[in-house]
Amino acid sequence: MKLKNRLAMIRESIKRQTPEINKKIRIEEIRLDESPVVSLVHPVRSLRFLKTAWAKTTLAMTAIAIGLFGIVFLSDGGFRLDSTPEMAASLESEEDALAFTAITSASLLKYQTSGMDFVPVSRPLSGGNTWQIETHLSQLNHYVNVLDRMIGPVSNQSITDLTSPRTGFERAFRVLVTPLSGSQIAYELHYTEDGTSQDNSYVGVIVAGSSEIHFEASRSLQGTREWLLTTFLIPTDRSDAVKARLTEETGNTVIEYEHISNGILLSKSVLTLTMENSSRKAVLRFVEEDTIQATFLLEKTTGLRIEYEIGTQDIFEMDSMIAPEFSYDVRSITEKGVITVGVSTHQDSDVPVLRYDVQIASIGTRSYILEKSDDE
Amino acid sequence: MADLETYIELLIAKDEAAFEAVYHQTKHSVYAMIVSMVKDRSAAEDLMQDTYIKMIASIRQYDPKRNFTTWLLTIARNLAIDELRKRKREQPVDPMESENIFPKTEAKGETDLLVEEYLMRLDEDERQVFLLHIVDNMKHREIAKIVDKPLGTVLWLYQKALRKIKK
Repeated sequence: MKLKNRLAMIRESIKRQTPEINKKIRIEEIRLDESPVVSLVHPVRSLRFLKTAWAKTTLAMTAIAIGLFGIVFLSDGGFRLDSTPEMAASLESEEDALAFTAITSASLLKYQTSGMDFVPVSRPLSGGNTWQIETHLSQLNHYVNVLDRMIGPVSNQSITDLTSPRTGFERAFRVLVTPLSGSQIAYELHYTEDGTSQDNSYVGVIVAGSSEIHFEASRSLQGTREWLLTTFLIPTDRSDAVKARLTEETGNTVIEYEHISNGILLSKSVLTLTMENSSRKAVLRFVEEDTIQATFLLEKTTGLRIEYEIGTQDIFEMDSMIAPEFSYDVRSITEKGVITVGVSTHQDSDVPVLRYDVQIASIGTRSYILEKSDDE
Repeated sequence: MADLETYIELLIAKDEAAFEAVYHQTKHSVYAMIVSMVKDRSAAEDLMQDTYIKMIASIRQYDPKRNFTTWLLTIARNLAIDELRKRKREQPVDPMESENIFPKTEAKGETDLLVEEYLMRLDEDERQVFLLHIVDNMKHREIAKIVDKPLGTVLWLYQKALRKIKK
């Protein structure tokens, strides 16, 4: 039975069973209470949502990550991306680390939701000469560069509070980012509180160039835990929504993403950021039916280290020696690998490049030098 | 259908017709709210009666700036919470943990059994948000105020409920 039919059936059942108690009530016999007005709603504690640079940056970065996922920034001309090699990401702050991992997760989410499963990277593409790892690295390189281009070092980032000039929104903040080179980038987040000051929900829109991403957010404080749940509405003609729930605890930030299309959960990922002294780690887990499908550990050392593990996958491999269109071999594969990213110098041009060293048991160690994103 | 707020003065004057109008516009939501919590139809019926009596008794305290349905459902919810607390104090085994939303003695049709099976897939928070939304198409924003949860949490719960119903 289709979902909408089930919903209709439940609705009708509840309505049918609703008792008619109105005839039992003698309204004229009820004594009206004259006591002072007492609110029946328990007030929500005063919250600090959007009061700190961290909250603003987090929200904006998450929005950008989602925006990338929705491929609106890239395709609508909101930004011209210039992933020049000297823009190699330097994760100098918590915000950078957070932004990087958010964007990386968005990149990987994009993989998952574009019809590509988490195939082991050691598996050759159908042509046989190109490896999945090269495709993955191409994406990773692209986002590393996008990150720095958009975020830049945190010292070159300013956030200004404004009264929103847009109809329907009360407040705004403008973020200006000056990368190490290149022109300044600006985006604005317009928002308004929905309802009273006790109602800690917000609606807003993030504007970057010609792109707009609408969102709803709410923030809550539970003991020492503070969390933010944001629903982003991706401006496509699909009924898509990406929900990002952020939980902040001492030393830890957890971001849970859910991508929902037409009411159906398409993908879920959980990103945990750990900050301990100078060590910063991010663990990204993709979850399907409560089973972890793939885990990525990102660690900032002198460069960036990515340790990944892909859960057991059934891989369908075509046996081209027999009958390509009908004959498939099924293999179950579990794979672990380590990717390190660092800045190097191109041996011919002498320009800085990003170097990716990949260690995977089944294919050994490979090194790649990547300069520019293919998407530009 | 008139705005419920327009009946306030008539309810203060104990106008029967106004009460009937308010009752018929709100009864399904009130029942959905209560039955989602107490999972017991006979108790739900008593609580429903208490809700409307309390609504009339407290009508002078109603703040016209608030949505009337939200206010009424908050009364229903608070009464259901009180009932659950009372039962927990009085009985070592909580009857709320009963496997059935509807009483076993009642003759159930195939449809009701199926509906019961769907609703049992949901936990209490999910069921509350889900029923309030589908029974009378209440906005998530209003539900958030009634259940005293952030809007995002309500949206989240609703999506979870939909997924469980769809399975």
